[in-house]
Amino acid sequence: MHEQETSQRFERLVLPHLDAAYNLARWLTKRDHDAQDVVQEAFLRAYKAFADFRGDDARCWLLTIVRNACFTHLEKRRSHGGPATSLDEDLHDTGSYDANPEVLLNRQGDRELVRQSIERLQPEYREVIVLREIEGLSYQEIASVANVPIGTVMSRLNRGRQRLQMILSANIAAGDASAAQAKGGVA
Amino acid sequence: MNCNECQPLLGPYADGELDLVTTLDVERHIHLCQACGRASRALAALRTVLTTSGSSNGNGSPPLYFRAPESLRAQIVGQLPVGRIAPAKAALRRRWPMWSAAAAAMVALVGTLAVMLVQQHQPKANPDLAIAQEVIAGHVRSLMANHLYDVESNDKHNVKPWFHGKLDFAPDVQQYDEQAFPLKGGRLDYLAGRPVAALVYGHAKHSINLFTWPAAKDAPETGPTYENRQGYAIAHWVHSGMQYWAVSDTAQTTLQQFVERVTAVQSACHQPE
Repeated sequence: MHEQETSQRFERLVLPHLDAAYNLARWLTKRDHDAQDVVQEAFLRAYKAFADFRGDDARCWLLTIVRNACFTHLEKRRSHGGPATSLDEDLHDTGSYDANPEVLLNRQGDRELVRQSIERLQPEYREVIVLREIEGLSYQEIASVANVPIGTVMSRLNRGRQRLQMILSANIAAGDASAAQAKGGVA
Repeated sequence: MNCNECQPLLGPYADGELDLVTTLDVERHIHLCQACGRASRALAALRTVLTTSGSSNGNGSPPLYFRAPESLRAQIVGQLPVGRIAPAKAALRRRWPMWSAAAAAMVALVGTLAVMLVQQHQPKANPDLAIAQEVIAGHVRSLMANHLYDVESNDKHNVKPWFHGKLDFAPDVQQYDEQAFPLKGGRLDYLAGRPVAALVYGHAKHSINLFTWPAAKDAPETGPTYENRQGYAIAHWVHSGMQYWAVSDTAQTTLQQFVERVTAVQSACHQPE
């Protein structure tokens, strides 16, 4: 009977955060199949550790487990000769938000553009951006999920956002250039 | 405050993570300083793009929030020990196919009894406990059935009049922060034994339901109380003869920011339109 109670409590407290778990895993691994594997693994670990969980809000607790499972998974992928994850090393940080707001706002709603741009971020920047902008966690919660001090969360968010706006601007410019070319305009 | 101090605070300012004094300092500086004002607007534009690109626009590309596929959900639930049964228990299942249904019914019954017992043992019955449960149920129902809005609009001038003639009161409908907490719409709901207004606000990929209805005549004005139930953040207060219940699956701190916006507008003496 105790096992059933644990299971019911787990379903009630942890299962509602399945979407949050999958969302984070999908953004970090960038592949649906890997994300599903990671989430399954994470839920198994979560169930085993559930006896130690006190409290009502299991979201951050679960996301910590998911996040760790993701980074382990990414490590394995790298060591098996997977593609390099950091594609934005050629970006030079200007240290400020200097994108043109109108250029960005023109493309709001362009999910593909935004999705690709976020995926170009390195995992440690992508992680905090996703947790903040898409999952809506507070700095304190992000710090506990990513297991870093709040100051690190703040600086990673800063750099992550600055990089993201540069990537977005670059992608928009590239897209506009090829569209102009396609129309037979000057290259 | 100078630019060197302000720059690193632009992010926390936009995220609502600064204390009030620092928030005001940053705001003042942004209004006076061209460079920081520009940077602040660039950041705001970036966040708008991140938020609005997530909403469904029906063109087939995946949203920014990835929901778990149904097959994954089924697999996870099947993984749980009650589902993944040891051989001995599996035999039990085959003989009594109604086992799991009966177990579920038992749990529901025990759960209801537990709630009733808790309520009986409390020296003064706490009606708020029951309402909190209904508020959560209302929130979950609105999400599950995808029935969040009867009237869908981000303009209070469309939402407020819609309730006219449908309720015996006029809910106070306001817009707060267009970026952080945009108004999405409203609908009728039924709580605490009566029709109520549900105002829906968004935050990133989440929805906040703000339920409101007239309070009892002798109900005292109370400041917001916060709690977390079943993974949902809830806030409750009474103002100007009206009950307010806010519920969401965002972080409690986020709901708190929302409620602070709402109560700030309520405290400012404004004429209801």
